[in-house]
Amino acid sequence: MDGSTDDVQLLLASAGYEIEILKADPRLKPFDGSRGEALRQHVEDLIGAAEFRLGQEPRGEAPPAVRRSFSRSIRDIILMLRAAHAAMPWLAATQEPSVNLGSLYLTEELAALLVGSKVDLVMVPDVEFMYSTVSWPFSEVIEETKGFTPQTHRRPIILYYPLSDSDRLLLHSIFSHELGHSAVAEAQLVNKVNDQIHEDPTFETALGKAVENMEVAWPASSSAKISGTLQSWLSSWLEELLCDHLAIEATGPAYLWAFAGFVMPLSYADEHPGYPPNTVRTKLALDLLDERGWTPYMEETAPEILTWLRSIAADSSESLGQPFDFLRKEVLKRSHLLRETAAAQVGVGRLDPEKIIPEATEAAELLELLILPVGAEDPLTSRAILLGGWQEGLRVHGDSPQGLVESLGDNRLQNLVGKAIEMSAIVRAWE
Amino acid sequence: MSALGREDLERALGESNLSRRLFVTPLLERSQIGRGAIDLRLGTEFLLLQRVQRAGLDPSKISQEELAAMQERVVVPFGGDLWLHPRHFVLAGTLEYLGLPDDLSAAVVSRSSWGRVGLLVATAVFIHPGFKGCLTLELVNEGDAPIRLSPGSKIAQLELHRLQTPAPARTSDSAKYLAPVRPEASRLPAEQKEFARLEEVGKRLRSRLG
Repeated sequence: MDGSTDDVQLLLASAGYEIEILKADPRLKPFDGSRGEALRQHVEDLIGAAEFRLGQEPRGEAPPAVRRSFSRSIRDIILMLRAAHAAMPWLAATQEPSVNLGSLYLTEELAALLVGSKVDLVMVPDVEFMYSTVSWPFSEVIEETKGFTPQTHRRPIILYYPLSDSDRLLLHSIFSHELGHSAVAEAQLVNKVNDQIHEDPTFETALGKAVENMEVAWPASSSAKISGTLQSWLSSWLEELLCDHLAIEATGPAYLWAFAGFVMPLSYADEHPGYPPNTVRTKLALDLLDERGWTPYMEETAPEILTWLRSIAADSSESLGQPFDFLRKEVLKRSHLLRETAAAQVGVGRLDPEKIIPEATEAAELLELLILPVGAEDPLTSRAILLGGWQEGLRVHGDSPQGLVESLGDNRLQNLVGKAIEMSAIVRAWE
Repeated sequence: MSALGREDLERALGESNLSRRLFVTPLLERSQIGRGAIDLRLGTEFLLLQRVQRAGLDPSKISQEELAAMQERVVVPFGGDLWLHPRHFVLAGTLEYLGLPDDLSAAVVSRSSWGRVGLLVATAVFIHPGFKGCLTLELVNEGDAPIRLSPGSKIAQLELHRLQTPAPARTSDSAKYLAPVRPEASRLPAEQKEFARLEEVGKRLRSRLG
């Protein structure tokens, strides 16, 4: 029986066993340097929280409800302890990075810019061909263990990337989108946007109408439940769009070109509760780039690609099925809130076209000469090297969607970009 | 062909026409430019030959892919170390990326301070005009004690020579081999025809005796 003496004994033994094998793993031992240290401490915190909870075993005369509650919490802990084994290869990856060092330094710089300096970035190759992220992976048990005080407050961020993409630097501005998810969580950015949306009375009217429409389609759900679902989906869309905006503030057109090369082949105007259609994402990305003054640069560098992207963006005005059309209209209407929120988060670190375009152009000129674009005179910044890499890629492979994808397949170009970013970081650390 | 001294090196590195400039990048300190050579530093990527994967290495039988599989790529970020044990061999890249104009050739020489602790640094000594890329260095510890190698250490020197007549520009066909940014494995497997020819001639000679 759940919570019986035998059941509790089984759980205590099982949890104790899981803790012992985690503790015995040599990858959990302290190591030199700060990379991976917050993640290591986070796992230690999980073990500490588990041991703390195990010490709260109810006495034999405790009411059955208390014993059941205890056994349920130990089951959750065992699940989390088993999940923590996944962190061991992550920790190993911090000591022997398999990602390109240029990419690692660039992403660390982006993490500091978007999330803040109190982060621990762990980049892990993944067998799935997708970029994704998770932060504070074991926080649930730690937070639920009342009375236990965790030792780390530096956010561990695990970034997964496709194993085959470790040297595909031109795609790596996508990391800035993934880091955006941590920034959104850390600074409660979706809540900030939602708060402002709710201040507008027209939102409640639009939401009410959308709920009415869905009552027919979802007859089993109450209007309150439908309203909650729609607001949850809207929050998911806002989060994805905020991440796009943060990525553009951080890496400019390099993000949109990477997005177009990697994400556009997956879907077009598909309806999904978790993220907006690519037509909408492209429109809002172009609007932000235009507002920041990037349009002349994009017109000069890749006018045909810009025309193609604009045609995709134009399709964002096409209606979707319900309730997605409600979401589409709302995010398009609230785009100024997304821009303001992202700009405030990135602050003065946002990419300034006036400063960066001359640097990117120099990087592209050096790449054309097959010279590592660290800088002919003064050192170039990593984000300028990345943008210059795209500029050169599109010059060589053509101003077309096909040229954009072929740039991603140009290993020599991306090797030069990665090595230049690595050297740029070393030069700045040397000074 | 004339060797370049410090002033010539400074001039070549500061040439305003980028397509005719000598690039040694990044040059972390101007003091790397010596009286007749430029100090080169150890890079962050290495290729180690694995000792247990195969019985041996026969360049006439092995493919480029098989050779690559025998080598382990090791990345040591700046601030890390790689310990080279006695009689161990490793390929290393230079930290600096070189870009030679068409009127300069170069040679890489060991630094005696490393040689005196047992580290031999060999390379494809002569570097052709127009070469672009990081150099591959062959490092062997001939001493009796393990040697700590740290990326960024000054490991070799680059001597430059001006040609009386600039070399013709590289063809587009050869361009695909340009611009390595990390140590490169041997291309001996690409010489299979040569090895086959040697074997054929050897057979002919043996049958003449028999």
